[in-house]
Amino acid sequence: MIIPVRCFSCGKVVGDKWEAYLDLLQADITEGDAMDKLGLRRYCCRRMILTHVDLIEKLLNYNCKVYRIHWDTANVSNSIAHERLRNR
Amino acid sequence: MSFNTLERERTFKNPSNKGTNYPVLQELVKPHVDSFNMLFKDSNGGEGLLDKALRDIPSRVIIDDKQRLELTYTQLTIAKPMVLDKDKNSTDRRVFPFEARERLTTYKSRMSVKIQVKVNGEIKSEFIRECGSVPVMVRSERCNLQKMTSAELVQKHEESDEMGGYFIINGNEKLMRLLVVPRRHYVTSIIRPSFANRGPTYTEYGVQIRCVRPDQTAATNTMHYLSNGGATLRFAWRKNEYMIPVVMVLKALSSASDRDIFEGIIQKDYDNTFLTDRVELLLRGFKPFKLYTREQCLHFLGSKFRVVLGCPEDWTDIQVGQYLIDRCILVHLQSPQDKYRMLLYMLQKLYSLVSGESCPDNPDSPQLHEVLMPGFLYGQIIKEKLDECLIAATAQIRQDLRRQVSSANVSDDKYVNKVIQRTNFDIGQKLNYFLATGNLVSPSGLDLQQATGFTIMAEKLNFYRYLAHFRCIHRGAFFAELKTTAVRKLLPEAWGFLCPVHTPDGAPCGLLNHLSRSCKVTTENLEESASNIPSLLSSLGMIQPFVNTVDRRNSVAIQLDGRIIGWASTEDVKHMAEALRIWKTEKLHDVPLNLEIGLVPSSKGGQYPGLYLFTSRARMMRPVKYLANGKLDHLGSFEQVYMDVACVPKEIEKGISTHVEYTPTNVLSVVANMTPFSDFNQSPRNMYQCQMAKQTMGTPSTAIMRRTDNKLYRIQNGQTPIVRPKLHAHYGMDNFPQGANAIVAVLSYTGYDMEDAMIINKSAHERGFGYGTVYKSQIVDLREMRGASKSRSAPTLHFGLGVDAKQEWRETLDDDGIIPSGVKVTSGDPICAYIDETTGRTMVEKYKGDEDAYIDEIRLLGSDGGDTELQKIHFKIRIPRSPVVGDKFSSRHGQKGVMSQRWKKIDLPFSESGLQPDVIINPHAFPSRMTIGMFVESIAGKAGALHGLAQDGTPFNFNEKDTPVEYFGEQLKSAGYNYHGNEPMYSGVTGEEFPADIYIGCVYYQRLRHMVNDKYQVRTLGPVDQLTRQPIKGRKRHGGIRLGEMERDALIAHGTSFLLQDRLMNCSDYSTTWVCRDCGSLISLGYTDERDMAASQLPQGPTGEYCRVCRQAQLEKDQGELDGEVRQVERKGDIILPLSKDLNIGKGGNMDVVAVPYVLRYLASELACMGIRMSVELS
Repeated sequence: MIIPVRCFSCGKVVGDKWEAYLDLLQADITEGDAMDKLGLRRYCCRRMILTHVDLIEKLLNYNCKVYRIHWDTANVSNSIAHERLRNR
Repeated sequence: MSFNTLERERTFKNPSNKGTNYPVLQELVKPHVDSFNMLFKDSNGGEGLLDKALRDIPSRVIIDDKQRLELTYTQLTIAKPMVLDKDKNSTDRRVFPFEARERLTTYKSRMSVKIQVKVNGEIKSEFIRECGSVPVMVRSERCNLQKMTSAELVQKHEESDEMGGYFIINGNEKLMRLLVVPRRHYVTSIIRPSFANRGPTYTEYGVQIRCVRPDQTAATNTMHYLSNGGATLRFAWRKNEYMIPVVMVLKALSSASDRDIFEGIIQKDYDNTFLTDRVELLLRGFKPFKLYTREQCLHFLGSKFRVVLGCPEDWTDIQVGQYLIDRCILVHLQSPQDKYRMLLYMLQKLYSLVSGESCPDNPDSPQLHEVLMPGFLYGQIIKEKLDECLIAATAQIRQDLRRQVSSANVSDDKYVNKVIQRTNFDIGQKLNYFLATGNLVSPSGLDLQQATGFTIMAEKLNFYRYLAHFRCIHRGAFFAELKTTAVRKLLPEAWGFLCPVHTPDGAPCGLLNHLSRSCKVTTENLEESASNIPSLLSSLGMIQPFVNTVDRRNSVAIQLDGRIIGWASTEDVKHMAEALRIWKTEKLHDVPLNLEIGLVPSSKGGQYPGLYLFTSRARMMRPVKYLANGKLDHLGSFEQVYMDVACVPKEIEKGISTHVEYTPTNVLSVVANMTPFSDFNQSPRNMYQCQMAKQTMGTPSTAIMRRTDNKLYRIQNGQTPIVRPKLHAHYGMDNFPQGANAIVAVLSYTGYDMEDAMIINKSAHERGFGYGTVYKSQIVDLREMRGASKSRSAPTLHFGLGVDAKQEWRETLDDDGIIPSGVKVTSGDPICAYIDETTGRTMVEKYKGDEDAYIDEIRLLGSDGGDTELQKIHFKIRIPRSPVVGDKFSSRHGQKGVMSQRWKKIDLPFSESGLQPDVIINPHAFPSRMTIGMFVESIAGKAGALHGLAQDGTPFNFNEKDTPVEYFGEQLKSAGYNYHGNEPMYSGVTGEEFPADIYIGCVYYQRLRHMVNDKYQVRTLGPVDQLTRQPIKGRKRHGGIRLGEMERDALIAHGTSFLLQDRLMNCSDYSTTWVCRDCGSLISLGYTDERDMAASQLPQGPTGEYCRVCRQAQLEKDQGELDGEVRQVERKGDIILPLSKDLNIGKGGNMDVVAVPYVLRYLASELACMGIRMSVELS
């Protein structure tokens, strides 16, 4: 769903690393290297980021609040609506 | 392999607006959706199956006073789901499935038929008759979602990859399960002992053919061999079976002389005396009928069958006979010549079976199977219901005529219309019933062996289960009752079509199979391309069917969809089959890819030879590579038996192999394919995993806000597995994660991991490992409440709080009488209130569950027209379910276990990098189960996490020379870890290093839906059964658990009689009762009325108790003594105990209290009712 706050096993905070991880991937850095850059060394923390499925992005499509934004911004593209929501 | 995280994120945020994200998923439900689409429009653009069916429904005729009224269906229309006409507020008139789901209604659309009225052959008028609303398959031709892209689907609150294929009935998703039926248009030889019981001279030999009309309705014909050499043909009409001599049918089809028939069967094989003798007997056997010409035979048949067929009264016997032939005999063939030839072929095959020249076919083999698809069955039901309606309408007219109703006049179309409008034509309601219950109500039985169990609920427990519903194929309810297990056997013929792994264990094992992931079911109409096959074959030397110089000793029949299209020598057919295969794979001469070329070679005592071509629908086909030209070929289950398909390119043997699998995993089902390294596991473990994957708490749906299921399980922190087969991404399984990658140590620690228990890290638990949620529905429908007015008029119950509402209700409920959403509720809390208009009182509906929960969503459900007062509310209730001790977890290798302890982090072992496991499982789980795949997954997962790789766990990729241990070991080594996946670990309690290194790695763990909170059953005191006063059963009703006979035996054997007494008596139906010491009765207690002075003098106990029987006897005795005659009181049994203290006062007051089980008293009174006295001896 949403990235867990801490690594299940060791308790290292990983909740702040998801967006950073995506940015690194966006910059064409491989998954392994991206995690090294994020300072995730144990494989327990690495799997938290590596295998996380950010389902919330998908669920937001069905959220009535976002839905309304779609209507308000009928001319605005879908992604901008998303962006707007995220910046709130 | 990469995790494709960015790509995934992108499709999550912006579902595709060109088609769907995963078109391959649509492919999986194709048999459902396509078969339904064919009802409306054929694949070649021609008329749909419903139109074909409509034309096949016979006109109904009434003859009255020389007026001939004829009613015929001419047109059938099924619209798309729309809002009712009376609704004036909708801006969009279309209805979408989400609305049906959320409003708990049926997704349906209107159906109407046009009925033509002919009087004396002249078209008088045409009426339109509404047939109610029929349920419509989601994403089919008639669904408003058809052809929507992912983005549009999401707009309509559906999954971005909604596949459809199901119906929505009262808010529930129902689907028709695929069903195995005998392959159409193939003559099957059967030796069945029960055939011999059909009558005198009947034998166990027979041949059977299932014939299917163009509208997909079927009729089976069986030919029986008689011990006198003859044969009869059996068919069914309205569930009744009839037999006719074959020769009569042959002669009714063509005016064939006996010689023609003889030559047609013998085909130059005059030396075969077995055959000639029998054919002679067959022909001689028909002589007594004295029927020689076609007309005579038809006349005879017509005269006998007129009563059952229900043909127009003005038809001649010949017409009726012809009708019988058309309707019942080899219905897949139109021309009588074709039927004639096919019957001769059946006779040939029958005699060859009897002589042992060919062997019986195995009716349980998938070679002779095809699939009954939802759409086709749906069409068959509609056809039959329409026919029934027309019969009902004509019956009504007949009745009116008989009763001489003044308005009844067949030439008056106003009257006819009135009758039709009055007759029940609500086919929608009947289909609704069919889909809701799965029960088929049919006068003909539709040539099926079962009448129930056609539909199942498409449970969205998780995505695997949901998907498996559409891929499962059932052998038929009839076979489930069979004691023999032969039908359940996995046959080699099933290879590649049915998954060998994915079948449940237990009762449905082997009967409920799943299609392999590559298996397709043909739905398209190939008639056109099939029509030029005969000419193609003629050019290759096929002898025309009418030629009578064929020698059956060296030629075989060539059949195309159960029609004999010619004959050819055994050598020639081989070339023909080869040529056809080349043509079909290279798309030459318009030969369709889905043509099945079943070449059965001549053999001694094998399957009856011939070239059997199939282009029909409903066949299972699968893609393989044809080696001769390296092109894609579709193999059917019939032809595959005679092909040689290599599993991997390495296995290809020159000159023997004809095909090769594209990938060996094509033979597994979708779910079975998701088990990583399943080739390293013991095979039953993979079967268990298929079951458990379908019971996992996962992500059932991403449109959870729009779902109203009765029960929905959801896991909070789903992850994508590190180790997964390639197909995981192919099928978009990341949309529905159903587990988490756990750090698993295989270690015997603390003792709490014995017997398949597992310890989980308490901190991991607190950080969300395995956290889940259960959603339940509670529906409040005021129309179904006590006190609701039954009539359609204005309701008498209204939501809201009345002036008499209690203060505590006012505190929790809003002014509208409904609890606000988001509120926590505990068992018995009010969730809504309503006012009864008649009594003026406010009532509340309570939360029914036992657990604390939250009101997640509230839906106010209006009526279809949107014009009535609110009467129905749907509450979606969310129950948080964090893992508790006793909840079930499993890896993907059939290794299930219950969580036995949440172990504190400080006491858990740790590795050198300070890492502590999430899960500890016991090493004893492995030796006997041999799930090596789990070990491989563990190191592969660890290496994958370290290197940031998605490891490919596709089975059959490694082998003995190239082992996964080596591959992943090297990866681990390069990351600085032990090659074998072991790590030194230190005890969390003592801090000392363990003497052995611990196998620790990353394994994907599933949380199963079996949770203690749904199962625990505790009781001390509680409700008891009224009659027996024993505790009632059932967890839901807070009942007890039965201590049964076997448990009782165990306690007796242990000699624990005190415990036994405690269980069976004290904790069950302990009761005390008065028993009469004199007569021993348990049920004769009476109390003296103190006010009755006379009675107070009679013998009685200290509290006035007495035995009514004994007192009565005493009184009668005293009376008798007074009258001077001594009557003996009847005494049965030898009970007498020392009499009571005062012997001199006579009997009746000698009562005592004993402890007995209450049922004993009940038994005594039941026996008394039957005139049997029970007496107890006290000592």
